[in-house]
Amino acid sequence: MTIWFLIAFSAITAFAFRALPFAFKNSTALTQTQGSFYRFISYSAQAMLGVIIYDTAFNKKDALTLIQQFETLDALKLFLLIGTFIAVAKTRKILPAFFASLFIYVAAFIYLNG
Amino acid sequence: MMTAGTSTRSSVANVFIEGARDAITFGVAFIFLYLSIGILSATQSLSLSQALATTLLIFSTPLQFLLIQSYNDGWILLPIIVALNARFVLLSATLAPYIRSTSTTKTMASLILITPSIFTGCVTRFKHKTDHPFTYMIGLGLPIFGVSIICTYIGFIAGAKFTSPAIYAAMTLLLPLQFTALAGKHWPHYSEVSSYWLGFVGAPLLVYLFKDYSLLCTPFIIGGLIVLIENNYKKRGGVAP
Repeated sequence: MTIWFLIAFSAITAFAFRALPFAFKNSTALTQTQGSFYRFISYSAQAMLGVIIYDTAFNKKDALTLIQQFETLDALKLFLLIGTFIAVAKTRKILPAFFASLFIYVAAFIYLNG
Repeated sequence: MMTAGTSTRSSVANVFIEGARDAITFGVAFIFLYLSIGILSATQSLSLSQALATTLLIFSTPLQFLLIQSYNDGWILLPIIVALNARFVLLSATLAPYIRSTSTTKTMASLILITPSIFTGCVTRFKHKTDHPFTYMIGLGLPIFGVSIICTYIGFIAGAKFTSPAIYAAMTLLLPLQFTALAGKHWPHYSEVSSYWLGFVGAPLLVYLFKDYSLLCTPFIIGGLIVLIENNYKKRGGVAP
């Protein structure tokens, strides 16, 4: 199978899934933003971001594997993620906390890996 | 004297500029991410047109990383691609009420811009400002999309010269830091924030239950749970004096 086929398949499915909800944009389920269905979709979207972030930061490890293989850098990742969240919630500014955390992590990685 | 039409145009232009300004905040990680995608494409022997096509036609960082790193796996990737793309339904469904008055042609042409970062930027704004939501989405999304294409190109041209373990380490934390920062912007909307962190905490636990379909199932379990709690809380609040 060629890479071009995979790119085309990915592009078509991405477009289809992005477009699908707009076919129902006038249905009451999607127009009532305080309704249970819309809130369910909205909260599920946030939860999905949380899942993606865990999978990216900790390489999709299950709980047991994470505990067994827990390293200093994993602890630092957790600390920086929580710290970034608190800093942004308090200051309402994204960039300072983002860059500070990224700098600390890269510096720690270089220090720990020589 | 300023006419109503001029005032509306100026207002639309202002919203677009506000979106473009927010693109600096919401899109900064894209510079690093798409440089990485360009670099990785070069090291994995993709052509420049293939590297650029992934950004131009797909514009989804997890899927692009998967394609570039694992395209030799072939057919086995198809269900994973569908699963990864299915998440866009949630993002589009959440944005749909805000931009439903926009023409179908414009909406279809802008669909590529619906990514988690642009989605979060829009939702954060639409919670307190709902003027010209489509213009804001375009103002926010277009610069991010443009920069991502340019960075894919630069990364590809620079190729393997940039590769180092430190860069790969930074790449693993770029997206998590960006989304966690964006989640911080939702504070004090407790339900959204709780959903995000429950997704994070639930991922390593619910993977035992849902295995490879965890990304598809876990968010709905959490979304449903939060709505149940919220509805129950409201009901009790209504009964209480």
